Amino acid sequence: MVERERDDLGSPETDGFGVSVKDLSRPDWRERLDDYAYNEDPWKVSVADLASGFMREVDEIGGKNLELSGRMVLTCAVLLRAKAERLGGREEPPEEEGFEEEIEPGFWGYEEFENESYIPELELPLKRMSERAVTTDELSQAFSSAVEVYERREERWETEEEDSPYGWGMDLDNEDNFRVKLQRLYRKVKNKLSRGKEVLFSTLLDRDTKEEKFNTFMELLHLQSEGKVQCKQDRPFGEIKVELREDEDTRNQDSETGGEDE
Amino acid sequence: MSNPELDEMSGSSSPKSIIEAALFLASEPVPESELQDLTGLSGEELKDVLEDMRRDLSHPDRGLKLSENNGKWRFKVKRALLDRVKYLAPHQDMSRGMLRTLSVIAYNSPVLQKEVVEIRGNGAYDHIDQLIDRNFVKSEKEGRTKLLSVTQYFLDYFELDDLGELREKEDAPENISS
Repeated sequence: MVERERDDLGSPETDGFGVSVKDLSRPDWRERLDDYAYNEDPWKVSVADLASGFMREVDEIGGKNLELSGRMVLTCAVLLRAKAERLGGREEPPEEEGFEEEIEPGFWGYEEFENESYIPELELPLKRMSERAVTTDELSQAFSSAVEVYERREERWETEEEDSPYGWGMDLDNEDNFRVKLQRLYRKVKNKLSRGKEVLFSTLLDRDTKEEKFNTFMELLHLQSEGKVQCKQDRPFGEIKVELREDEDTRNQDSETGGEDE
Repeated sequence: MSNPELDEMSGSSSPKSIIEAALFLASEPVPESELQDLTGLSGEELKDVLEDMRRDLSHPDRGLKLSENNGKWRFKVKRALLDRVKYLAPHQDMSRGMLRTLSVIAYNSPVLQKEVVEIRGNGAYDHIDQLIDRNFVKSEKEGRTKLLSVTQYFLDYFELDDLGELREKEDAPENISS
């Protein structure tokens, strides 16, 4: 109860003049503040009491009202400023009448700004894009960098080739190895054909890489040249369809019934 | 006594001042035809003014020079001053990739285009086209590829008497063949 009384200190309800924390929540709080600060005597409002009331209010609401805090800071600043101005008497000195009339129009050079419709045009300074010639040192450094990048790339390619069992090319030096790959692919085609009439090229790939596509395609071409499969492409760059040659199909059926596998 | 600000406001528009303003402001070399349009001068008159400007700038007290390449003009900082002030303009007038390609050609000139591409990758085709366009490099047909070498403009640009001067520099890198 005592606390509420303190909160009301300086409020219009207690002494008929002042600002309370409750006032800060009103929609017209700013107008009322200006009224107290500039139309009335700001010294009648106790900023200390106002601040104490604010602290209690903040405690009550759990410190979550940022809007109220902002208004409080502004209110205190305005009131202190108004009090200071009232003390120091810093009011604008009266203008000397008649002085302007003696001066020719345009003397000051700012008359055009007094026209409210005048909007000064901003002129951005034109700047040159700073580019300069290359020096021979930079050319020499560029060459060193180019060689370094080239050597690094070569080294990387060599490592990749050594590491990858699926290097580019058909490994024709090792014919046995290539034949194994052909047989493996042929078996794959046959297995997949058990579920349809033709096999899509993309389903034969182990990985979606250029190297894999290239190697698989080369192996398919070999199988086709050996008359084991037939590759078809309905439109350029379209999907390649692979089917077994009819005679091969028959031979497969033979092998399934006791014929010798390839 | 002249007031520089008043002079500026008086709006001097002599052909020389227009050319100077254009060359200062332009980010790319300005073609003669454009300078003619700007000044209203004939080709001969324009050449006279440019030569006059060139003479003015050749004075040792001046830090700029007027440079012409393929009928296009631009201001450049004199090479003797470039090392001292280059940090103020970190951007070179060619990309890093193009400079590397040019360096490969310069240090190996004459060199086959396919060798340059092998070293620099496929992007080198574009660089080579631009370097030929900018007159740094010339190409001759050599079988199914091209033989690339640097031009006189390249030597002028880097202020070299010949390529030997570049290769004999103290910290010159070894060329690719070595």
